[in-house]
Amino acid sequence: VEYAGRVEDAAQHRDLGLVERARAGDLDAFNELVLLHQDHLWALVVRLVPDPDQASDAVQEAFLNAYRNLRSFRGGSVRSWLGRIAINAAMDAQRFRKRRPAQPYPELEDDTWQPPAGPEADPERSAMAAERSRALAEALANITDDQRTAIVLFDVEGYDYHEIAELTGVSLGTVKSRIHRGRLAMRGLLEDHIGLFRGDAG
Amino acid sequence: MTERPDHTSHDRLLIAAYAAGDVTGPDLARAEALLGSCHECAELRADLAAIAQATPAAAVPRRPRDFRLRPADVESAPSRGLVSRFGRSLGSFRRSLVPVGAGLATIGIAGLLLAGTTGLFGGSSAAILSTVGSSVGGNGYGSSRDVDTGGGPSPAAAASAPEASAMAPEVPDTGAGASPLAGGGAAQSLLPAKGTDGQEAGPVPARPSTPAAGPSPLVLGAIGLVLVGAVLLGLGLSLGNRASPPD
Repeated sequence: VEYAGRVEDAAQHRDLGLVERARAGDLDAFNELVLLHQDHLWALVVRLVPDPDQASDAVQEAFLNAYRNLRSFRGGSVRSWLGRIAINAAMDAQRFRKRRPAQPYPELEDDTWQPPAGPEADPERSAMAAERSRALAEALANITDDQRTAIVLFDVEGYDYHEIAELTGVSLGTVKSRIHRGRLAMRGLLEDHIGLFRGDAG
Repeated sequence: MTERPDHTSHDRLLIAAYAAGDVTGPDLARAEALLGSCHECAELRADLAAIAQATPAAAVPRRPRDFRLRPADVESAPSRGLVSRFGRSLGSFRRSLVPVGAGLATIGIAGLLLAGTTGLFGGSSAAILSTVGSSVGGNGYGSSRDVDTGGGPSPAAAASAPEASAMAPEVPDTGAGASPLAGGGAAQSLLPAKGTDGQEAGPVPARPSTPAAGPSPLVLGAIGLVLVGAVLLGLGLSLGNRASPPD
């Protein structure tokens, strides 16, 4: 834990230095930040906006907004600051999707989809984990935008109810309701795969 | 065959809230009673907990590209964050933008119709209406035959519509300019019936000329309501409805 804390401090120190340089007009310094955080922001945004093209545009917009608003950074975690900008960009993209329907959701068998690497060494367990992660992604993509946003922010990003309420501009009760209803909806969508979540998932 | 409780009538949302640890008070006892008596409710609770725990492992597509910014991106891209920030700052009022905008526009249009039917439009008011119509539709309904106000287009209007000015070879400066909102069509619609030499410029039907009096407050108010309503309506539609009610 102590080591992890030191690594986190070092990363934060590095990020703050890059922000300072970027504020002075150093685009290369900002692009170092992009390289460091683009994977996280991509994973966050593409879960909120399950159309890769639109998610890609939203991530690009988030980095542009971050660059334009470097002066608004008040310290703290650069990763969290970028994450909040990306969440806003993703929610803007969600509204855009409502007006203009997205491309059909890509088939999850597509090898461009990557289940997160796990500790499973056993091929059978690895295959099961991959199938589970793909089924989850598909279920997540097929609930409402509001439910998906609340679930991703809570279950994946670790925001608490109050933070999600502030980020999404709704009440605490609405956040809870979206999470509960979203999980119920996912449970229904995962009916055919529910065996993957029983036994060793709890 | 054992008798099973009717699971379909059970409160699944309560079970979901319980699985998330969000149930307190009397609901807690109700949830525990359900879980103790209904196997399917207990199974649902376990499934929901397992799904929540597994969600961080949901697959994501590969990152399609490198998002580093190029100098051209930074210099050329217009800022698109202002509308979004403005929308967020509006708070719960965002929900009201569309109905309020539609209501104001409707009232304004009704006011204009009322003014039209009751004869409250003066000559200048008709010119304003023509101007508004042309600025909205790009081509005013009015024509040189319809309007004889004795007022020529303002220099600003003429400057904004050179092609219209070119079509008006001799425009007298009467001092009573049209609205600067006037576009090309409006400038054309405000052409005087007479040339500078005082002779008839064309077969313009005789129509009593009205003095260049200002439009009535009702007309101005109605136009203002229509414009404000249209702006609010457009803003509400573009911002969407982020602050939606509970699901």
